[in-house]
Amino acid sequence: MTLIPSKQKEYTMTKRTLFVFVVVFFAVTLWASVSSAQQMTGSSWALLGPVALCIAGAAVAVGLAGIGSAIGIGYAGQTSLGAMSEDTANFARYLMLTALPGTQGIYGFVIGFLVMLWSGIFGGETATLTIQEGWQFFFSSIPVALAGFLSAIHQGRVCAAGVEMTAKKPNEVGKALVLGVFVEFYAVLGFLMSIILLTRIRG
Amino acid sequence: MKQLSEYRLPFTYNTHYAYGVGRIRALETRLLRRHDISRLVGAEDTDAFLRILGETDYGETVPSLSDPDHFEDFLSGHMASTLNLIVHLSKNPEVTDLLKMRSDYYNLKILLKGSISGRDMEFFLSPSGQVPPAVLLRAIRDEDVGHLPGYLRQTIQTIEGFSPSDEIEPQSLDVLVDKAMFSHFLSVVMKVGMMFLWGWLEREIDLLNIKTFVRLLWSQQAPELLKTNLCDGGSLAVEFYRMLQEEPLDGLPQRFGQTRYARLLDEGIASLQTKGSFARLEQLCDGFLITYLGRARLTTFGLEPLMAYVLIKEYEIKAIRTIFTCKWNHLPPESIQERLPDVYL
Amino acid sequence: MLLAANPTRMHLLRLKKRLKLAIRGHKLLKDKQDELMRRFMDLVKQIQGLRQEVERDLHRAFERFTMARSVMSRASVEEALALPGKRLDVGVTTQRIMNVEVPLFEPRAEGRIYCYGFANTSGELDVSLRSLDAVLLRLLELAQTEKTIMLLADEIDRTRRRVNALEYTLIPSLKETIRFITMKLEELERSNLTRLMKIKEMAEER
Repeated sequence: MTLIPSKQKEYTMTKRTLFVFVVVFFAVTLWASVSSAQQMTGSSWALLGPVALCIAGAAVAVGLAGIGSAIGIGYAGQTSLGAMSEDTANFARYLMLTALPGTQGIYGFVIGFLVMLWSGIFGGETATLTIQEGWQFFFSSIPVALAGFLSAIHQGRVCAAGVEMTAKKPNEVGKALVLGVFVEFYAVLGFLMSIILLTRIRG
Repeated sequence: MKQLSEYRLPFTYNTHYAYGVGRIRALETRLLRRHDISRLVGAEDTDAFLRILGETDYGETVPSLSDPDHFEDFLSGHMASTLNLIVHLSKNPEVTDLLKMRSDYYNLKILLKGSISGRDMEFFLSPSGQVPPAVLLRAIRDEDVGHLPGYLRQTIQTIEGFSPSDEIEPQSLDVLVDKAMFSHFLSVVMKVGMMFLWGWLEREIDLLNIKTFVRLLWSQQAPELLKTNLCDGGSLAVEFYRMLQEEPLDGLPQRFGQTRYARLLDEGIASLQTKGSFARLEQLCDGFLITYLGRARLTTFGLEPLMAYVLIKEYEIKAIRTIFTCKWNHLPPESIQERLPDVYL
Repeated sequence: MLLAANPTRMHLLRLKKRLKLAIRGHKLLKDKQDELMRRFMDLVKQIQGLRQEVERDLHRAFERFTMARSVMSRASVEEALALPGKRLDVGVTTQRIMNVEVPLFEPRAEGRIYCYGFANTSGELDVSLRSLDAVLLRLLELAQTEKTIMLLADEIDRTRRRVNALEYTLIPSLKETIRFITMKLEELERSNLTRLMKIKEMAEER
């Protein structure tokens, strides 16, 4: 018996386990749906019709960009809260920096919305939608999804560092913001490219 | 010539520390500035000193403190609360616990010395260790180390292996415990792979060895004591010092010219020879380590800023204690300034 | 002052003997006093420098200790000095100076004064302990010499009192008594002579 209690190792789900879990889940779902579609129609891709592809594009754009924003805001927000638990005076400055990685999620949402609108899913005019157009909509939403996802995470880091700097030099918050906006720039490029691509699909 | 490792920025990147680092950055703004320190140094007497200290982050309870023992308790209370904050924020308990284990090793020294001299030393035990003092006390008294954690058990066994009877010299005892502590810390930091702390320990051991070496040379007991009293694990091997044991004091800076400690030795030894005081050397060593800790500013996430904060806080408290003791004994401001690390002046 | 004495020849002889003795004693004591004084002055001269030195060094050592104390926490000072490394035994014997017993210290020191590790201690502590160590033996020497001086001073005082007693009291009164007795005896002689002459005269008349 020892008199000193040993600290219990904290159980955390690592990123790797999470990743494997998601991949396995999607693989099993895809395999199940494809094999059932094959039984019904004889073609493996019939299940992924144009509408499904458009929906997948919108989902990817909103989902990935949103995940990125959430992670980024998570970093900056935690850092802000840490700084504010000692001193709440700089709340407004921290708020700006914390909100900055949130824009990617909005871009993703806008693209998702445009995909749904222009593909005619909202209007119920999906009859003329070809399978090629479905794939085009899907790939057009990739730029904002990927650029938003990664840039939001990195912007979150930059903003967290900005919060740390602001804690020390509250009047220099502008400089921290400028550097955060540099990262934003590439999310904006992805967003623009997605829009340009979308406008070209259906005339 | 700078060493290769100085160009690397070996920080861990752990976003779990986002909250902790944010909090530490806010706390860092409340560390004493040069301006505060020079006001404290310039205070006319203890009352004025305490009043000025009360205006800083040390709070308004300060001016009511009157005698040195209270003040000492006040400072160690501050240190303990900083330590607790860091341990609380930490996600790497195996590293932050090292901070507490320092007190364990201190308690071990006290108790072993007490058991050799037959004096009751309970009063001096530090409560901020990882092992409750009562447990350690019982283990030493009953000579039953079974309940102690491995690092203390090993240290005790090393000491017993070194000299089974009670005839051990107090200096050897201290040195054995210090060596055990550093090698334990190094092994933990190595296992975790935290290069920043590795660099810190390496520098601390180097500077400790350099100070030990100069002190031994100065008190003319170098050759026989050099063998046992230097710690392993620094960037300069113990053999290096042995090669220099016949060197006169003023030849040393040149022999250290290739290391990062050249400038520090140059000034430190010059002052030792002109004034006969180690103050300048120690001041430079502290300054060197504080400057190293400043590198933690370069990382956004990770344990490093937290560790750096608690260590810098330790130096700050040391500086405050120095100023207070000097004020209490009515020493002139110049002799205080001699003893504060340069970064504060 | 006249001593109570029977004015007899016998007593006179005894007193004369005493006077002679007193004068010789006085001379001897005077010599002793001079010698004591000489030694005393020597020691005082010797100690003046020593005392100043020791006081200065002690002051410096304590100042250094304060410095060392200021850069170390109370706990590490306590820890560092918890177990002393140096033992000092002082053997005390005595020697005689002019028949005065004075102490003689024989310090026996073993071990080293540096009784702590280097990690938590300041070099200033080395400096202060070294100067304390150096001053300690001289402190003992100072104590020994000062005690000797005190004992010598006592002895000088006593001797001077004796010399004075002999010089100003005993010898004069002895002399006076002797004179008194001599005169008394002469008077007796004279009265005897007168009586004899008277008797002779009366006898011749008859």
